[in-house]
Amino acid sequence: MSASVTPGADSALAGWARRLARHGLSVLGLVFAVTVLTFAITEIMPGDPAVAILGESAMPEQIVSLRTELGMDRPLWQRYASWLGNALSGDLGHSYRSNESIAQMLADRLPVSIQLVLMAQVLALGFSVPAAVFAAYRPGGRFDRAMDIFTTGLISMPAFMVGLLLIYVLAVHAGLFPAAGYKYLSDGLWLNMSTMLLPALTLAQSEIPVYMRLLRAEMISTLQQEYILVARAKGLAPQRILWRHALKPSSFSLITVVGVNMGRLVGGAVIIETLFALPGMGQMLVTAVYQHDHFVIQGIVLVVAVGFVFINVAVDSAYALLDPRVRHATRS
Amino acid sequence: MNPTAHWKFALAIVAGLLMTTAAQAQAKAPTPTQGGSINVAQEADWATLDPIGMGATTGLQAGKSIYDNLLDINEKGEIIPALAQSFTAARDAKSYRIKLRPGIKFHDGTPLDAEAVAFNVRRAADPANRCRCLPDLVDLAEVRVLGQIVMKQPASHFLAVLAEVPGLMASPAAIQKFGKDYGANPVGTGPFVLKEWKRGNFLHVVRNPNYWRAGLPYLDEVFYRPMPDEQTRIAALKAGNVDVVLLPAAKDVVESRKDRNLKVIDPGNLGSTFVMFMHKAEPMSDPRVRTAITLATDSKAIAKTILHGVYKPARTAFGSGLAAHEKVTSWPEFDLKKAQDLVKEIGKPIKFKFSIQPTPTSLHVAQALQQMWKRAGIEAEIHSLEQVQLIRNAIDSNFEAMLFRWPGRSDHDNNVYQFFHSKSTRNYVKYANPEMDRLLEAGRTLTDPAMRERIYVEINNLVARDLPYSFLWYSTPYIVTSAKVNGVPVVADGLLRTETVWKAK
Repeated sequence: MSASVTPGADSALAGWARRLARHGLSVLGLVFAVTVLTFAITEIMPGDPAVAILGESAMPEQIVSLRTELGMDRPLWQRYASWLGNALSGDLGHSYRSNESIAQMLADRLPVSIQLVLMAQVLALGFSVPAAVFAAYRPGGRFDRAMDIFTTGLISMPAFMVGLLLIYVLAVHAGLFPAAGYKYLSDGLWLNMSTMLLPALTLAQSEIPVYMRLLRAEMISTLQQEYILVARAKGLAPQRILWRHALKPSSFSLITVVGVNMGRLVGGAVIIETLFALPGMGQMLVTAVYQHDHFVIQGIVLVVAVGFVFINVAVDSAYALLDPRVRHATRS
Repeated sequence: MNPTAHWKFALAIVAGLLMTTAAQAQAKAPTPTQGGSINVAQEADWATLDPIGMGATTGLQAGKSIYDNLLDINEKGEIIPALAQSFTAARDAKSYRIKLRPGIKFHDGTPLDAEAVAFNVRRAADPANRCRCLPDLVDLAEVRVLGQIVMKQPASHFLAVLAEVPGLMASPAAIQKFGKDYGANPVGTGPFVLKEWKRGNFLHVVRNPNYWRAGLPYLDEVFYRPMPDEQTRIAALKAGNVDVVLLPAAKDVVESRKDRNLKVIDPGNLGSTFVMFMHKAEPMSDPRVRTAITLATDSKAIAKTILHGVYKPARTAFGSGLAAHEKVTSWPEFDLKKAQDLVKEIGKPIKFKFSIQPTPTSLHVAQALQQMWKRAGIEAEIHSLEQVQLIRNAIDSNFEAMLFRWPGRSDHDNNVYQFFHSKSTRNYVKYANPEMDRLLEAGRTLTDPAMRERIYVEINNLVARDLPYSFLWYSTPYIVTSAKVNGVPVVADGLLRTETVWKAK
């Protein structure tokens, strides 16, 4: 990049777009590889879509004719090629079982999963960042030790158990939230939130210990840096040192993990959506796998893969926002 | 978590107990409350609401709200007219006359006439439409518009078929209008009309103001909500988010009975869960092997422990909703000593693969069976298969022994003919006995219920001797409701007939 670009014009967005373009090829390659792999996996998956459609009353000759109709008698690569061709032109196909358009199914289900994952991230970060900062302020102190026990507890509990506990305590006994089900945003913000809070909390539970411990460790090492000592010597308030001077340089690993975790959370959403009966992509995936609805599985994987790649490029760009060194390194 | 519910059909209480509660409920006879809504939790969403895509049992749940059947079964298991005003069977059981109730209209205003009936039955019977009900219709020769149905051969079980999927009447106009998308836009004559279907979240149906049964339905609306996790279903019921839970887990039936705010409805059952033996290959081709395995099977212990005592051990192919239920004299009851002696007499090691679906209950049951058989000197290797693969292997007769279930149907014939007749494509175990074929055919020729019952008792005894299957327990499709829900008819198929349901305020 030429030196004539002024720092002001070099907005975050432009940097992000540049990075995306630079990653473009590898991104495409990655998404392609993921779709090939999923196609191959659904192929070796035991069971047969024709049997899934016809049910146990299927007669052998029916199975054969349906397999032909579904094109399952063609070689794998031919089927993949025609799927890819259609997908590139925006047609993800139809569900074998319900004949719904897969693009429409994704449009219905994706927002629920995105909301769930984002709410979980906000809850997890909203709790772990302040907790980690305060724990790092006095490592080994009372608060730090309490948090240590708390996070150990959280990390040892599986999500489905926490979910059921939350359902029994907050929904069945206290009656504060519905035990399961989903209300759309159009039904009202509070109704929507009341159905999403328990699932998001359950999903956030396993992230909190990771975020907290990571940030706490980074904070402790940052707080030992000389410039912090200088800041202290200058008599700056501890609050100001912690939040203004120490947090930003300590948050690199956290941001990486938050980005990578988006993928993990999508995986976690499969369990949480099933547990809380949310009509998201996770539940759609479970149903599709059980029903051998190959193109639906393929569509979901495509969306998740593309989303994951974009998130990682975004994380990459976030470094540049936080650290001038990264910004300059890219430019030269 | 597992939405396949191989096992969830299978729970049970003593039928007598249930009948007393039902009688008590009737004695009080409170006046039904008009209006209100209920939420029904079920294990999975339906792929389609087109009758031809529905399975014989659970797929029908919402179908029963939107559609009516030509015929139906009542609490006593008898075939009764529904959309039909009357029906008559020819003496030779080769044809039926159906007389329709006049003046019934579909939700879209088109009339339910003889043409609509013929259209629906023909549509289900057309192989190109791939109705899951097709095996029930292979003997159908012709449907005449004047209300006559002609069979290729005697088929006295066919009236019961009309009480199931092939007898659901959908609007021909709507089927033509929506084409491939009809499954998302169902139009029937039923007590409720589709309002909105958000797949994976809810199916919302509202009262049909022009319903042909005067004064019904009581409710204004019904929501069906798919909740794949069984613990969540019960939690949602306890929290008051749903009013009815279909197919609860066995332990939840036990728990719910203790809860004063909940009611457990035992509708009885039609089918069973069993081990099936592949007859055409060693070692199961030796009848002594099948007998030894059955003798070594303590089905009472399984029912009592793993199944929490809510399932009844089974010895016949017929659930409590069928006349020949448990009427068998020669079933090889559990007797370890006899089993051991028989194994010694056979004189060579008995080893086989036991195919199951890896759901928690299946695994527990399979492991228990494995231990029981081992004590008799029989070695089973558990072979876990994903559900669709298991079904595929059953269809291909590719197994030695398999844990399988048949939810059961409302006529005896449908629980045995297709599985045990030597010429049936669904004879998974390749069982062939001319005596069995003769009995099965006789069951289709006779129309007198008492005479038919005698045939099926004979079949019970022949099955107990030849052991194509070794029965384990009867599959009861329990319904758990909140105490406010009333008017759930207790029919052995476990389908929730919503038109008579009402909710106390």
